Amino acid sequence: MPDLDDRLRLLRRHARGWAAELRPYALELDRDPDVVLRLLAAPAVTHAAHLQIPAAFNPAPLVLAGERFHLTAALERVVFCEEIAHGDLGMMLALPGASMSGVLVAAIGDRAQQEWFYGRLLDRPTWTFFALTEPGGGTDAGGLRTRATALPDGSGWSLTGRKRYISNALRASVGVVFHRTADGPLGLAAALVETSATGFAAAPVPTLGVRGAQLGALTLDAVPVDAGQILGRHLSPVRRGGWGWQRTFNLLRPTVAAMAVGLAQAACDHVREHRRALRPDERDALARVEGEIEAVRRLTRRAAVEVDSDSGSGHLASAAKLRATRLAADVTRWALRSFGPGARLDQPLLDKFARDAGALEYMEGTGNVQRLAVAAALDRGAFDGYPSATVPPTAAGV
Amino acid sequence: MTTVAPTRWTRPHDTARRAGVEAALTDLYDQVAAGSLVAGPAGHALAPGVVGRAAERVWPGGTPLRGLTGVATVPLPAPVRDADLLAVRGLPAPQAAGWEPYRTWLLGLAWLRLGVSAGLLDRARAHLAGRRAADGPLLRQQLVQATLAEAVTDQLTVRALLTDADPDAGPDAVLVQAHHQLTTSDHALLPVLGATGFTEDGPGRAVYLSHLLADVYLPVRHDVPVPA
Repeated sequence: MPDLDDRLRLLRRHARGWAAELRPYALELDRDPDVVLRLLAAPAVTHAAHLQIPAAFNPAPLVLAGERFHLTAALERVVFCEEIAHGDLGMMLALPGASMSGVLVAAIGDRAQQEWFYGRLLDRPTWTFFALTEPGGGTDAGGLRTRATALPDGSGWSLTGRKRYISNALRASVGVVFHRTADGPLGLAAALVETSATGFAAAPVPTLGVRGAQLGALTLDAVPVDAGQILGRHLSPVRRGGWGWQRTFNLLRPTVAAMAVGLAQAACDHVREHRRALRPDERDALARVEGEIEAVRRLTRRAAVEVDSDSGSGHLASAAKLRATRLAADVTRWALRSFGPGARLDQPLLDKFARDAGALEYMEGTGNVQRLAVAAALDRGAFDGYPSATVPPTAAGV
Repeated sequence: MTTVAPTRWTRPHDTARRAGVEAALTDLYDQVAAGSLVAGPAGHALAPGVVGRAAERVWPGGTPLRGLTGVATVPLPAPVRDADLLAVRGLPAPQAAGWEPYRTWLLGLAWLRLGVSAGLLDRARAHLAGRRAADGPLLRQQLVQATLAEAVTDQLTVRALLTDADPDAGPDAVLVQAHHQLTTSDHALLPVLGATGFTEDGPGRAVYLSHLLADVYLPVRHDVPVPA
């Protein structure tokens, strides 16, 4: 279902308008991540802060022409995030709200945890963090080294470890920390943690792009955690660990792809707007780029529909993320080239777009992680129209 | 570390590989355009801060900076705003007669940028040697090995081209293509460093500066005059 229905077109049209209001601040945010604090009254910021909250916990969702939007479905998020990223990807990643943590809380949190977490978000603009990546370990959940150690008096755990490249690390007040309680796949857990907790510290990690997201490094030194903070305490260890996480990542991946599509479209539109007299070969190139963007947009929407239908089915989302990341990199560089020598100095917004595109590679699994996922899916016949692999026995195996 | 760069370009190459872009650019300016700002095809310049502030002329051509109108400094992009570099626009671009010496600048710049690319590969290999995934060292994973193999092959190709390049002959378009190949190759290699390559003070910084230099100084291909 690559074409949007009237309801989603309505959402897209409004999101596009809100995003356009953010664009004038894009370069300023690039220089100073605190600029977002001055924009709390902007509609995109207000809506992001109060959306992605399930209907059961959100008495005041977004209402447009009588239609209610919670942004809890991947397809809705894809439409919204593409448009906000079209305004500015750095701003998109700097917004307060449930964001990635909200998807995990919805997937594996119990009712009390959900009430507490979403209540915090509705109370006031609140930034959240999603602490998975560790120094030396990337986003490999199996390699997590942050560890929760049971306290001797049985009152809870003590959480110790380090995280790196965490968006909004310095402005967040609450988030989730992925960790392990024991070795092996059954020892994986995620805890709701407040940044005011004893032993919690955050330091900035300035980056080449998406500087508005204000990435940071977290140090957790014996942060106290009680049973109520362990997400999915009502679930089996598998469901609150790897199984639940995988479903969350599947739901998030189309959103990252949509951000890449929005960024690519922004670069393309910048060329269209600022290079009015295009030579015939440049017009051809522009048409080709627009075709490439539309193709990846449709793939991304299909991926969103697929994970909305089955959150365990993330292979199309991997394909979309893989291709959208390359699209954003290619299109932003093409846009710079189209302005000729000195474009990075004369078109600072395009220079920023090209730097921002670099971030997408590291969000929600690198290119190689997605390539392996796509290859595995092809192997097992997960893609419609492509049968599973039949590997003939080798000579040695006969 | 040894290099096969022709003696003239050994310093900018090796300095870029080991010490960073600003120092290497100082070497290149010293060799090619001492006391001047080197103007790119659209009249921009990027120079080490000390060199740029002391410059009195525009290279090529030798136009005195004093008295030129419309010359302005340009803010550096946010992640490198603290770099000791001066960015300028509004200079007279190389004219027809200036393309001959400009070819020498492009050649030296290509060696500098090859040094940056080689340094990136050095850093990537060192980074990967210390990293493990679930199934073993990252350096031994086929997808990673393929990326490293492509990168070194790209660099060897450019090195072969530059080693044999005579600054007084040879089509400029080939030299421009060598620059583009370095840019493309860097973009393909950088992700193996993970987010380490995306930090402001990590290995991606030198790569970004290398690409900024290419942006300022590479002619668009159709602007390159065909040699007689």
